[in-house]
Amino acid sequence: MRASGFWCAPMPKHLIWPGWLLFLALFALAVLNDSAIVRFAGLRLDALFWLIAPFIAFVGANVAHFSARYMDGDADAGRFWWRLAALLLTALLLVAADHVGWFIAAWTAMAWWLADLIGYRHGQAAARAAGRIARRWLMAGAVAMALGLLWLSAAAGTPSMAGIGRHASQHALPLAPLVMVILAAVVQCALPPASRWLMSSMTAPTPVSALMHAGMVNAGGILILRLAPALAESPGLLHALFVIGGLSALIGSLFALVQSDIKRTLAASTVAQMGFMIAQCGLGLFGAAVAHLMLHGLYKARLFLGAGSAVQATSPAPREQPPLWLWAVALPSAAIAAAVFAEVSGKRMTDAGAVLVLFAAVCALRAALAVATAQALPVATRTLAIPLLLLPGAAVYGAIVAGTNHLLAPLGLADLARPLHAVHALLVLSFAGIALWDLSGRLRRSPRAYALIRAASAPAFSTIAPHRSLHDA
Amino acid sequence: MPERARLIGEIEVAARSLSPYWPLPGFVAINPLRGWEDQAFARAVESATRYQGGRGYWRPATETLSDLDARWHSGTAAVNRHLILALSAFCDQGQAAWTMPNRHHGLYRAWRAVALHDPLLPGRRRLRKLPDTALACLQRLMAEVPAGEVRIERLRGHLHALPGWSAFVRWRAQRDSDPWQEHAPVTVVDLLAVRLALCHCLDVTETEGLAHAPADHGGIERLQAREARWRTPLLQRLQQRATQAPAERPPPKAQLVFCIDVRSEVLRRHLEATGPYETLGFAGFFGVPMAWQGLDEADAVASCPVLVDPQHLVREHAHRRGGKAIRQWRGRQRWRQLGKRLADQLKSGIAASFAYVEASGWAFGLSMAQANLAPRRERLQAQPPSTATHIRVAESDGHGIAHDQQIFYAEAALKTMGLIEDFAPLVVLCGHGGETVNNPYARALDCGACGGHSGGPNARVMTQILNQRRVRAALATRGIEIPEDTVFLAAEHNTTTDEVRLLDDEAVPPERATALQQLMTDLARARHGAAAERCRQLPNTSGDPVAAVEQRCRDWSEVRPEWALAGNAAFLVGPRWVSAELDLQGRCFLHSYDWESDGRGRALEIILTAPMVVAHWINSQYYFSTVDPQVFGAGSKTTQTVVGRLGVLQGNGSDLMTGLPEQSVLRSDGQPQHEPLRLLTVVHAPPERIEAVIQRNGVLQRLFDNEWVAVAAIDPRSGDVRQRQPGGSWPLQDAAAAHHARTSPSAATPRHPSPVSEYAL
Repeated sequence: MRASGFWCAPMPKHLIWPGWLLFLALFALAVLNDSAIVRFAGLRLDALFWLIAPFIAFVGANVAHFSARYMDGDADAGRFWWRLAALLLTALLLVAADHVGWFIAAWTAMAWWLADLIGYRHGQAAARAAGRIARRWLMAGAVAMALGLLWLSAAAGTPSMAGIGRHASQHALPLAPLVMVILAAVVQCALPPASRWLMSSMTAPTPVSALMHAGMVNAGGILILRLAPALAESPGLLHALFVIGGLSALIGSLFALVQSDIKRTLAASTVAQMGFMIAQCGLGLFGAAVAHLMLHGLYKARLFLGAGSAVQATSPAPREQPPLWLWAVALPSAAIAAAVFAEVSGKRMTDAGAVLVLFAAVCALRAALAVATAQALPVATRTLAIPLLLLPGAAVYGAIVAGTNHLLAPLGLADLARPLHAVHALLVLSFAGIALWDLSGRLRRSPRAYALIRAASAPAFSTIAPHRSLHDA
Repeated sequence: MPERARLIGEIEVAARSLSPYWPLPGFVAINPLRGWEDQAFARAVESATRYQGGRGYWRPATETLSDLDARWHSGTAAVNRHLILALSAFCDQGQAAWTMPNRHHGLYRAWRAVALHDPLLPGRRRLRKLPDTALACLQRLMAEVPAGEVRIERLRGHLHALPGWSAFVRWRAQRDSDPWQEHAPVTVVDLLAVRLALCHCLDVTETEGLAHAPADHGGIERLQAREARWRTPLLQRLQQRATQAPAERPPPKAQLVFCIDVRSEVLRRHLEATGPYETLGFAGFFGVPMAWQGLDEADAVASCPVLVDPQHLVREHAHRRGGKAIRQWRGRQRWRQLGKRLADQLKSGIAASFAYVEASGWAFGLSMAQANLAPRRERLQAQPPSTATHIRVAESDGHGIAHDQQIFYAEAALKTMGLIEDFAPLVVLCGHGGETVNNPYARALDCGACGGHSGGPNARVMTQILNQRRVRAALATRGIEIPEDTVFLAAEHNTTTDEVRLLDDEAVPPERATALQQLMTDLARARHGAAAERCRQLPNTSGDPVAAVEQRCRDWSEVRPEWALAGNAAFLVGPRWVSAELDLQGRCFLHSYDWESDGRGRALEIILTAPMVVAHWINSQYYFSTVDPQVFGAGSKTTQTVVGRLGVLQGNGSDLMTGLPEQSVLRSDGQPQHEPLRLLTVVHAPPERIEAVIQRNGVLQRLFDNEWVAVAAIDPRSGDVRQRQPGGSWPLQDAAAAHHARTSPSAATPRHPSPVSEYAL
């Protein structure tokens, strides 16, 4: 790509093709890999690495490609590009790390540069404030992670994270460092009450947000996954993970309903989705968690990069209540779709996998209702569309979950068939309760509920720019 | 207690200093200082910057002048932040799934009900004691302020603390028929009540206005010097052309009527160089004040300038012959809408979104890669193929245009343009629109004369009118003889790619088919030249210019798809031969006008009071967005977020960013693409006629006497150039100044892309 006359050859052009090449190389290596684990210099290229590294490289290549034109002419473009490259490399290092030293270094560096990119516009007070808040939270998370990992490695007598996992299956590990590790994951994944930094991070340029939501917040999940064997030994900790994750998913979903601008809607959705991923870890469904981590990343990056299309001419539409007879069509379709999913993915209703199947069923139900109420289509098309959309969708979804499990099986990270527990039922009931309250219409008419959720999801006040001129008191 | 009526009157006076803001789905450029237009330019800039901060005159970014910084009272920040959150929530037009409860009660009542429970608002208990209605609340809280000027000043200060949101509220409050205004009514009174209630809760007294206002000495002089440097050579060149007799040209094979938009000038110049074509300029709505309803659309959009109310509703129907194409399009639309509906519903559910993300994430990944590596053009797919549809112009059950009004519009358009004789065998009416992807400012690239939409429908309506035998017969009785074999065609000029596309499959007689073929070939050649010229100014273009501009229109990461109206500086009213072959660099609005056929000055009056005012708004919008992109513009696109589907905020929350983003006016941080100059109107007509028109119209007196717009006349009888001074005198353009302009470097050197020094002070 020859640079044109008056634009001097910028660095961006040279980063795009290396980005794609890196992705293709990692992807090719992952495909050709014969599940042999490559170990060197404290790094460990195992099945988890070969799944996640190409994904991170893919998101990175897309973000870099997008940024070449998007960040053109920006005054701080140089700083942006170096930080972007650094973030990508630290993310790859994080996934490859086996020695706790590498992991701590990568996590801390990622946290530091992420906060730097959030506070990108040095000249604006709101951006500086957002950077400060992000740095405070993320560094606190890094400290918790470092302390936890160092303690664990001391207790297990090995600096290797895989070694810690092996040690845990024979001897008990102290609980406190595992709790610290969970706290670090909570902060990194921006689960409530640690979600303020993410909800105040819109001062970052759009490509940074895309990369952050796709690849950086899920570092918490990677930490949990690396220590999964250790966590799996303690049912109490898994339940704690499940409750924290589940509540975050619920709260995050409520946050997402009340946001009035597109980027913060997406951020609230990330909080919910990260919560769901952590909840899946808490259920012992580690394979599903890895799948969710990657699929959510692709989803969120695409939506962030395309956030400019949010401008549309709209008119107020009353909330549709589908008539009762439609439920009679939708419920069985959803049940059948859920059964297909359970069959293809191998989840049974008798263990923790049931929660996953339930969520799949709810999604199928919602989809069926949406199709059934689509006035623009003739009834015949709608009736045909419901099974046409739901059944293949459920099958593909199930195949993805089954596939990730299969790939992670050699690592011992495949979904554990954990038994159902009262805690699981309690959370599902909370979800159902809120959903029914919402369906009845009463939730959305309550000023108190609205005010509380808006306040909880509001950005930190110092990160809202109160005046338009650059210099404020 | 102040009387209610008096208070309402004072609020109205204070609100007059706000300029309205059209939300992005129907973006219209407007002078950000519209509310100050009854003051002279320099005083208006001073007033506006006193309330809002910021700069009114260009300064290079490298200069940091501490006395230009605005310092705000310390209490304002907290009040502003709460108000920003409240307004973002209330004014939402379709982004949030769960909106503020009971918005139909109005802003003040709905907000108060929610704020009583807001844990982030200290002192919210005081809200309980405030009255229930906005006006009563204002009366209570403004009781201590003396009535009259003091109170008006206070109110004005409150309104200008968040000028963007206030501008939007002002616009919305004036549209009673807007469905959103019925659903969630908001007025300026409500806005002030909420703001004062917040001040009351937060115990803030001195919030309005700046504690220390910026000062920019010498700004107006620098501006005048820069304007003279650009205007004098232009007037010289125009005068030279005007005093020469127009060269004998063969009768044109086709005439093309383009919009006055500055982008048309580039294509017109290149087209005229390829063959015997005559081009004219006329406002892109072709004089038809209509509302347009596309095929299968539920709502109609106003397709005329915002100064004019649409008088007719015109609809698009499927053509009998185009049945198959329409069926295919409809089929695709249905599936596309179903997919969109599913995506919207599933991603906003409380529990449905998790499985949805897992099931469809891979598709989003592929979509992202496809958008980066192999983007497709979306706009053409989203609309029905225009050659397969038909517009019903004839009046029938409430739609369409009555026959005598059709004749009226046709006559007005032709006479205003001066096209009343010597018709070519083909006359093409060319509306225009932009094409871009993933761009909140997509509507800003469309035709301003059509209310921020594409001009294609208007072109189709006017050509249908002019092709009717009845209409031509009526026009003949009014002095306009259109030959029997002249055919009018409708086309659309895509300003991003410079393509010109015919919109209707007219029954073109076979003897015209070759001429039409030749015209399309020449348009393709002109396109190549125009695209090459524009590519020299656009960053990151290389290789074939046509491929480069097509790449830009479908690239979702492109923040500068085209420069749109950046660079606009003059509005030329006169026949084409005065400006033909002059390289105006796409910086001039061109409106055709024939002074000899316009004895009473009616056409000139129409041109100056409508298209020129629109051009002035566009020019001011670009001017202020360039001199201060934060205060009057919208900041950088890279940190914007779309709020409520109607506008953008910066970062996590800010004032509603009205105006144009940096990427539309700056090449890069600190380097302007748009040269901030005020509009110069040049009219090819006797100065007395122009002065008579000005004296008849208050809006023109206001613009010219207050130096918002400058006007110069090129007297067709003597060739003199006279520039109007405020007050009404028309002194001859100074000979010394002319000499200076002839010998100054900028007059002699041809323009090419140059760095900042061209705009240096």
